[in-house]
Amino acid sequence: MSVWNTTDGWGWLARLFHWVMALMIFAMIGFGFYMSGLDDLIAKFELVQTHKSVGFTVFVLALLRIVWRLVQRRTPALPETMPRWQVMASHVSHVGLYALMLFIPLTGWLMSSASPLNDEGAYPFRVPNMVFGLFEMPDPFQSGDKDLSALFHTMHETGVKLLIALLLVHVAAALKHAIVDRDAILRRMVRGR
Amino acid sequence: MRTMLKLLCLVLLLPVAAAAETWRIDPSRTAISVTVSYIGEGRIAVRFPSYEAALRFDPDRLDATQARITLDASRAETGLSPVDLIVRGQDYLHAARFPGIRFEMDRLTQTGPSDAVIDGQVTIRGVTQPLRLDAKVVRYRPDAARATDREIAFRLTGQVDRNDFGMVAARDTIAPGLPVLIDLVLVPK
Repeated sequence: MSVWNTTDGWGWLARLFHWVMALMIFAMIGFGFYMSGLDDLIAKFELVQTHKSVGFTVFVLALLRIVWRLVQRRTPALPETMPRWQVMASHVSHVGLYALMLFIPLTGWLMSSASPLNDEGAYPFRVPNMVFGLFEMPDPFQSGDKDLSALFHTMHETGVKLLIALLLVHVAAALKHAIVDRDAILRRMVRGR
Repeated sequence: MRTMLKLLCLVLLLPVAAAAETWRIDPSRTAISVTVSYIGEGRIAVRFPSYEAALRFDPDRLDATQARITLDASRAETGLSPVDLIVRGQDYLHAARFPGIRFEMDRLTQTGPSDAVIDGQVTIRGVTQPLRLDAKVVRYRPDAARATDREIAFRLTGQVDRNDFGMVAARDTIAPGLPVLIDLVLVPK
């Protein structure tokens, strides 16, 4: 079991990134919708803090994954029989997925940072953007702006909706390759080759 | 059902003199809270786990029944310590200066087979205002075979307006009405 990708399959590190992040992203989407709908503000507060921490982790993992992808430029080849439009769609959707893996945590962080609640002396109390209670994320907006925070919120939500759409396409395509085309696309992300 | 009402009163308001049975509040299952509504955002429940109660009841003179309960404002809690400090602070309960929130019952009036209204006076931050609570029997087992199964539970609901008590901070974000919810469980002494 090699860490390196080959033209036949994915190395274990690429697969680990894929499945760990898949789990985290699906959990975060469900988590996000659940907590947004909560009426109990105390429960919501606790969940939002956890959401921020996991979001930070997703962002860091996405960066590491992209670095690994750039270091490891060799990737398993797509089936030669695959129509050109599907090859294009695959590339575009993967770029979109990587972009959203960065965009969504970033806009979440900017939304919280731009909130006046994150300011020193905020009323009723300051809400720092902590990561698992260990350290505070940087605050690019020393003086909060409710409208700016709302704009980032809209961007965050729009990003999530786009991500859901892309994930549906991604999962449907993977299943189509496994069930209809019976090629190695899904298998090599599960077993390596 | 006057009998039901009398039983309700009997257990809600501990008899002073002779009575078939005396009752006490079960603190482990009794919960007293008010709900604070952040307009357009959601709610925060403020609970009062610490209180003292004195109850007095004469089954032959319902109009003479009395109850008094004093909540410890310095123990008000929400589940989040920074919010607890705000709730107990001078903008709201001002527990350092007004440590007790007191309710004194004036009268109890039957409104249905297992419903009643309780009228009284509530004092918050040194300001006294009338308060009406709706009482409903939710569990009624005063004669259970085993003593440990005997209990009567009520749900008391009402609402206070924070502006009436000088709690006027954050008017644009916090609704004036504070719904009161008391889940009261009484067990034999």
